[in-house]
Amino acid sequence: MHTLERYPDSNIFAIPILSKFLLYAPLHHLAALVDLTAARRLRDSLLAGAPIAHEPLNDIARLLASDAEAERAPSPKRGDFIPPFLGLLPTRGCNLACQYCGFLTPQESWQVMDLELARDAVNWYVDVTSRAGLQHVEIHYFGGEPFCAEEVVDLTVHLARTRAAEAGGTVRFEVTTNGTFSEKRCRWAADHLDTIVLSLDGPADVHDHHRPYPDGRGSFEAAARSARILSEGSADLFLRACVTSETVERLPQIAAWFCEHFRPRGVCFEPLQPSAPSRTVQLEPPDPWAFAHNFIQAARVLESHGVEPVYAAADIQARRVTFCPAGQDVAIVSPDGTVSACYLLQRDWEARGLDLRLGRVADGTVQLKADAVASARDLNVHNKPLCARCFCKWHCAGGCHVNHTPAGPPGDYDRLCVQTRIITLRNVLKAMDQHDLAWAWLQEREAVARSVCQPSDLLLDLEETP
Amino acid sequence: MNGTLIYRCTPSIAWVRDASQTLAVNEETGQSWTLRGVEAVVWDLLTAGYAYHRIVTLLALIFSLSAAEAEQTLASLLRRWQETDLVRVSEEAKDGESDHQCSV
Amino acid sequence: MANLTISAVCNQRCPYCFTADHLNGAGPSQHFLDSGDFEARLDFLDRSGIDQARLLGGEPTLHPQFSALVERARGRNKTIVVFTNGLIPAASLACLENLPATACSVLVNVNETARMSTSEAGEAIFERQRATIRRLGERAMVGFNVYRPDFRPEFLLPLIAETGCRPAVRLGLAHPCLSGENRYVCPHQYVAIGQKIVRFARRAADAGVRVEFDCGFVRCMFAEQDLETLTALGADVGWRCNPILDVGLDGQVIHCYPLSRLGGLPLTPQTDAPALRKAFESRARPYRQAGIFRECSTCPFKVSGVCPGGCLAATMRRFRHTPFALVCDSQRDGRPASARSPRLKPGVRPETSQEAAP
Repeated sequence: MHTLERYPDSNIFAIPILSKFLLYAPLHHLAALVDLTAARRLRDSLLAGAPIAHEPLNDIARLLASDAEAERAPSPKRGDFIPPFLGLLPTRGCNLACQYCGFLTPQESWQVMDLELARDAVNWYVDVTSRAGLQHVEIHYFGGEPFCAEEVVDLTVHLARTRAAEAGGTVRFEVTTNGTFSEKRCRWAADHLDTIVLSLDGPADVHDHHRPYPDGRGSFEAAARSARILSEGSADLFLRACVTSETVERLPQIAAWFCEHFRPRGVCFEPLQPSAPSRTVQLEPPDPWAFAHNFIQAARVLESHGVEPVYAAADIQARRVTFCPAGQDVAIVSPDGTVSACYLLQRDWEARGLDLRLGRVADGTVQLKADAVASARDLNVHNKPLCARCFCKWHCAGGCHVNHTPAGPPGDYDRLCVQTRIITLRNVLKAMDQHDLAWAWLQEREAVARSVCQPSDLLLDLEETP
Repeated sequence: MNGTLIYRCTPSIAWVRDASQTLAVNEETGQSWTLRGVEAVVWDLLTAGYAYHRIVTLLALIFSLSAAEAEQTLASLLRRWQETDLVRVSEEAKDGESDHQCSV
Repeated sequence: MANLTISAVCNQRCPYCFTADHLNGAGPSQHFLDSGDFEARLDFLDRSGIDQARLLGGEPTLHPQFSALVERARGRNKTIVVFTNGLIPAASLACLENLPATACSVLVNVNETARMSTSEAGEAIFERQRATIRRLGERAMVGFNVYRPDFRPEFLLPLIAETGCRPAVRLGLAHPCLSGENRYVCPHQYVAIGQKIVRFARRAADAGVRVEFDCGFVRCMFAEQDLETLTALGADVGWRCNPILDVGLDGQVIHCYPLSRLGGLPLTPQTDAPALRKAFESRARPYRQAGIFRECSTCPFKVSGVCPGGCLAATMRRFRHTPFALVCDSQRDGRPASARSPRLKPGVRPETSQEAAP
């Protein structure tokens, strides 16, 4: 492979798609289908700095060679700590006992954030963003189940709205919820919040199996009722379905069922993240190839209904160095006042040798440690060798820093990488209106494997790819 | 029950929460109210089912008021709404109502 | 303008039908309008200065005396406008065929399901509609109601070409009845629908077909550029929501079918359309401060009167009815409740809020 020190441009990629190559340079806003000969000529032109006789190819070569035509590569945060959004965990408690949930422990579960602590966190956030001249603020609620601490949500929504209005700005609210609240609370959410991510794993047989109440009753009826109400409301509804090895082949049918019964803005299909509880009940994540294949089929169903399919790591509009809040300067406030870069449990970070605490809410404000902020900012794709030569790197950014930590060399892709690369390739081809090609490619497992398993996607490494 | 007031939503009131205000309408008379700022917040807390003293606590936190100021704000609002018939007040509790919010 | 319901019976079951609230309760004695009552309807049109007799249902052409009613309306120099599903009995179809094209306009609502259906029944419906439109020729215009975001109206273009009907498509957005029991598109789907409409309008223009908008479209569902495109293509673009004045079989006049549950006003020998319109506008005024989106009340298009904020029925469905009773006991010691939230017991939510009694 060419060393990246000698050829600093690591943002031009060539991926085999059946008999062609997808030339992909996201920072140059370029995607093109070329044959192997053309790809080699482009590579040689870039290496030698020499023009190509063939005019259309030469245009591409000129574009790729020009720094002026490219976006700057995304870089880690620097300077003042200005959160793009404030994360609030009103409680880690939850009224469900989902089979795969690794979030809850007896000691941490049931604390609810004090109202004064919540007030201080919101006030600090609005002050920080106001001083930075930002007109728009966002608050995201996670849990546990945020609506198990309704009063905290009510307080902070009204406080943030009041403070934003005083500053002449706007505020958006997003919540991730199990949707089992009362109908009244559901309508409140539809009226007051902007984005609602509601966990609904599929029809009743799937959902009730995965997400029962502690007494074993299924929660489908309540969640589905909420999804129906929210479908008509003003908030953007995203249905979020956890996918296991048992349900992966049903994704297209589940997608159709979602479209028939609800009116979401989007549907997120997320592969199961293994946890101790999921292992106990023998719930397994789906095979990545099966997940990618079925996700894409489900995506076609959703798109035909005007519903956005979401697999966040494959968002080709994204330009980022970190996939999750950690590294984005997001402040996530836990019920006990700890401010962290991540909403996962501390024991999970510690298991990976990470400390993602940034500070705490104290004395009426948020006190952050500069070295903790710096450490969080170091969690970015520039420090992930695995991603160095992957065409997904500015979209996926290496995935979750806690749950996705493969230590292999460039190209040593794991299951997450495989499904992300397949779905991202499909998304690029779709953006190019190459639907037929994408479909034909997906039907040939060997062709997909060739695309997905090449250790380096760099155009400059084309000849040396085994 | 001496000194106990009960504020009830006037019958036939329908309301909608918009981006920056709450609009309430009496569907029988056509009278309407546009509630902004603290009015919209109080209306929201009332319709969410909060008890009197929780509303006072929340108002104090949201608007940086003392408890007394928050209580005065709430009382003043309720009086004004009573005058414009957005809410109605009675002096006795119905059976089953005690010192917390209940919906009728 | 006023629509006269002459039939509560229909030979289709369109999922979006907005008469669901109004007609579902009709008893056996109210299937068709009595001819004497039809005369009263014509009187109403005369004193209102309306020169169109707009006939509605159910399916209006199923009325056993359809031809006679049309003749009476023509006797009063009314232009006949019929809203139909195209499954017209032979006698009624012959009646319409015999009317001069300048005096007759038949809007045939064609559903995609009929075209797309693989069942014999679905194919048969579409063939009948096609035959009807062919026979009516330039009297007919095709209507299409968008009730799901994955709509595909392109099949209408060859239909228009081969039947010789008016080169136009009247696009409608399926709106909710107040009960919400019909199938409709939600406002948050409007932008995506708007983009599809623009694509369709381009293809229609290539085929020499114009697009017209029914009521309830909103300004913000189209980007500025798309609006310019539609205008350039000759589309009849409009943001309308007004009292239609649907006159029911029972002599009650309602704002429009989706709002039938709002109540109606009686049709008396004295009432006329302008007065009724004014009365309904007055009734609707409090709700009109809002719109179908949260942002409507402060939207510059709405504030300036360009856009009314979408379908009033959709707007009214956003309104809540939440009775409450706040007990204020001045005998308490005045201590406010603690700002410290209670510890959450497993499986129990905090006691600060209660569910409304059903």
